[in-house]
Amino acid sequence: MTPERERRRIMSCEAARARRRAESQVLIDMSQLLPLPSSLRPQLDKPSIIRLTISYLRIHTLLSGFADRQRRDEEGERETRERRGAGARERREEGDRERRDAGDRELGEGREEQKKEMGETDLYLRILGGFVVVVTTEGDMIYLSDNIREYMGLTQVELMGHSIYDFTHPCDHKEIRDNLDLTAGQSGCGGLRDFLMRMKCTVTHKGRTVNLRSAGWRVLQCRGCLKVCVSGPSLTCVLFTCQPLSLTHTLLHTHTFTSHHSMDMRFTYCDQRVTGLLSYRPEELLGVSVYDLCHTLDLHTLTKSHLNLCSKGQSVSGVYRVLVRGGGYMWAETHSAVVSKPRPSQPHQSKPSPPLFVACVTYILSGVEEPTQLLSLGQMN
Amino acid sequence: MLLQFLMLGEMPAGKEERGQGWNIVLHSTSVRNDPKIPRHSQGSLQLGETNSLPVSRPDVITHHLTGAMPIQELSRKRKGDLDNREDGDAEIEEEQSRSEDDDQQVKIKCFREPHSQIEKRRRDKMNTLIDELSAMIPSCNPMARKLDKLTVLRMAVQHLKALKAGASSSFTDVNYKRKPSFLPQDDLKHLVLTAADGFLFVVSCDRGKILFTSESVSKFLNYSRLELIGQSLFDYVHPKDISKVKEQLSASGLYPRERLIDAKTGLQVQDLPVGAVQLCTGARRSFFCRMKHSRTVMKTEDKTIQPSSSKKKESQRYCTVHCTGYMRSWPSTQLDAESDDNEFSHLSCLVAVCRVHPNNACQPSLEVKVKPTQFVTRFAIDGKFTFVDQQATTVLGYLPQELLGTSCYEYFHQDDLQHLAETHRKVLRSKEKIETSCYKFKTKHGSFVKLQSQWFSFINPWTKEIEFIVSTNRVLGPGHTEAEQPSSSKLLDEESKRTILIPGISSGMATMIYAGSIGTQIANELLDSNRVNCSPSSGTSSPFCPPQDRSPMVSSHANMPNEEVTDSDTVSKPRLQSASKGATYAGSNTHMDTARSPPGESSQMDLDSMVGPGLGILSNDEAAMAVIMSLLETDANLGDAVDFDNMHWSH
Repeated sequence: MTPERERRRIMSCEAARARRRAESQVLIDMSQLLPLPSSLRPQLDKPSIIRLTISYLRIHTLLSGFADRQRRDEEGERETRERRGAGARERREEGDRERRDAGDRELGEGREEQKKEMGETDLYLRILGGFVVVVTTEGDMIYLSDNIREYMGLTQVELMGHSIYDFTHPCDHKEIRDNLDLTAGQSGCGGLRDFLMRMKCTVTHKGRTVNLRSAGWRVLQCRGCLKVCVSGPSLTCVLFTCQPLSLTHTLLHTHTFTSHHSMDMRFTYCDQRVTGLLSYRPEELLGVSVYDLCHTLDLHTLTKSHLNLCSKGQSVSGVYRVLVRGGGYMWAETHSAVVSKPRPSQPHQSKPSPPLFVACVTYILSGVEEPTQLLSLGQMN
Repeated sequence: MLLQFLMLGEMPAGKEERGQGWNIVLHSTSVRNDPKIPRHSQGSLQLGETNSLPVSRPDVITHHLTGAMPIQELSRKRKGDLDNREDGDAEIEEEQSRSEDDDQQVKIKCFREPHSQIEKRRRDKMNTLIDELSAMIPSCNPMARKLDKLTVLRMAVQHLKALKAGASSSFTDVNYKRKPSFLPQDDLKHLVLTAADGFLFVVSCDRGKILFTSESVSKFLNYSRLELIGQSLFDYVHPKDISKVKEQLSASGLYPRERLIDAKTGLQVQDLPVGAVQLCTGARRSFFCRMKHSRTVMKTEDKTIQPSSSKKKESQRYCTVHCTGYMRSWPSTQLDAESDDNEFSHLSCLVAVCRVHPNNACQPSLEVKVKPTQFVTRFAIDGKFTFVDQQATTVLGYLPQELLGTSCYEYFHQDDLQHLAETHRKVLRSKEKIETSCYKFKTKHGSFVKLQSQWFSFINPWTKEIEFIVSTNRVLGPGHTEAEQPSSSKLLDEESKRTILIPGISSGMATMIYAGSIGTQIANELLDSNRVNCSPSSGTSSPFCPPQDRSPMVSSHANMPNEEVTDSDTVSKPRLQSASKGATYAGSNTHMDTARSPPGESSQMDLDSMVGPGLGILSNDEAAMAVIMSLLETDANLGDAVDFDNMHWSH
């Protein structure tokens, strides 16, 4: 080895080191520009910093697209509001009532101010009972609200910039892909999305956080819409809210009833309230399939829900018509979950324990429509 | 945290040393299964595998002798890196062949070979990230040439700084200083409302007064925010849902029926701790109600909303919203002075986000997807109506309850029985939707209407068994012209010679018996076949023969009608198989047909007599019998296949 070569080697080493140092410095600068808690920064490696930066830039692009539109909307709305406000005021004849309204309105405004102080977004996220995800059509999660941790145990920083497919159940990938597709969604609903997916969850039932490797799956109801951002770098995203589906702590009110079904959706139990709502007696529903109770045009809705139930263990039916005994139908929505035999020894099992039954909560959404119409054999007696 | 990054395939920066990575390979015998586990499940760390085989997952622990470029204080020890593990797997396997019996053995092994690959992957990944980054930076985009890594990173930093300066207000936010959020509050709020595609409102629990709504309410309910704030929510809720909403806003003592259910057991939790759920801050609410929707278009609106006169209009004005939220109370210190109705020191409110149901449930009356000339029916596998939609009445004249429980075969024209029975059989064996050809359905007035239906069998997703058949029926052309129903008119002609009433009823009864039994027969056939298919010895001798192979029931028809058939049970196979081509019978048909046909039609009638002896003149029960006979017949290879669809029974 000649000294010349040795010298060159040292020089190139030096150059490489300088380059790497410069790069590191830029990345450190970058990480400091990211709106992250300072405690988190030292934990980030290079790819993570870039990943988060990309996400940050993307969500900004998306939001600036919104802002433009919002500004336009707001201007439009202000105009109409002024006009409407004037109209509304004219309508109210009694002067004192108007005064009270005005007072109330101020009160409303006051509350609004007050709420802003209290951290409005926390409020919004709490109300939601879930978290917000923004996913590009390619599947990159460019934004997740930080309350995801409450629900899934995973943090915003861990997930942001990663592909949604890395954190969701392989069997649901096709469905996710379909819903991220530009042309998907129910036709005529302006790109609305509503689907279920299973996502990794490191929080156990008891609230313990486990390692990602032993993460379980949690069924999330994803509802949202497609947003296309045309200005700047083209970006097409699906914004949706993810809400864990659970029947626990569902406050049951008079317009709901609970029922149990065998896996083929025949009633095995139904609570008394069904009689007040649908006029069937609980005992005469035993053995009856929910498919016999629904309007034929809504068969598809229920089948889809049933399939979700079979594959994912939980489902939301969406709106369907349930036939009322004696004639007519009501609009309803059913939330259901497969109840399995508990296995206390191994709470996180890969093999699902045998299903015991399906528990359902049915919300009645309307009154009886077409009460004179008998449609099915089951309604007659 | 850090560990999780690594497991997801993030290559840590500190992996650049060009020396040897030291792997500590932990394994047990069960590791052998590993290579068979699909790649993705290894990568995505499926719950099951890792959990059920707790030790089997080989943990590849790499010692980094020289962390080349830790950005910050990166730990030198990395565990379970995905990329690493992948390469490790091959190693482990070969290793295992050597030391198979050693359980729980720790090995330290050095490997050089895959290291370059790991490095390459890491570089590729970094480059992809840099490319993605440069795509997001406006100043990078116009440049045609590819920028080097460092430049891109520097530009990104500049861009971030510019963004930060632009959004200075949100970055210097008090909240931000305290607890930095990835997005400014306003943006996040906007994002939540956009994603939720709904509006927010705050309602006081005591009076139901709307204290606050988000501006987006105008988009959904068409009322402006200012119109709503201060009003009672109950003025905007469907009258029948008021009690429902009150229930949600009120205290539990008044509504003992509210209960919780436990998702694990599915049972109701009967005894609620009093007041535990109600009204206490944080209690969640989720309910549906119908809310008024102002129909007036905002742009042109300048008059008061007319109270709608018709009932239909009334129903259209509501849309179903799903409200999810929670109860919370605010200290109402500042409110006390202003409002008289506040005796509590805390004001309880429901804070909820309302999503309008995407379904057209707002307008249920218009929801029916079928056109006026379409209706939907459902029948059991034996052909008995179990569901008839209201549209059917306008087309058929029957009320649904008149049809329910009766067999659809009772209403089919005898000419079509064969074809429909075939379709029925087909649909029971197929998962596809099957289109019938045009057929005639007897209306309540005795005339026939031409229908075409699409049938499919509904298969229960769990049991995979057929539960019923759904039929979407389309009315073809104008209902019942004389030309469309020569055979029925023939029948009427014939019957007009007798006393109308009694024979009519009796033949009707007969129809009931025989026609209905076609469906039963087909259903039994399915059940039989299921039974046969269940037994291993069934082989190919399925009672179902493919419909294409099935010969037309010409012959069986032919010899049947002249015989005295009183009961479907008397139909026996021997009789069927003595297929005498029905020549004599065909002749008799022909003369009856030609008697009513114009001379020009004789060729047509000849064809009829050849292939399907004038089913038209058979009484309906006889035709039904014939169909049953043909169904019983399993190997009727008599005569050539006849395409019934193309036959012209009428002129």
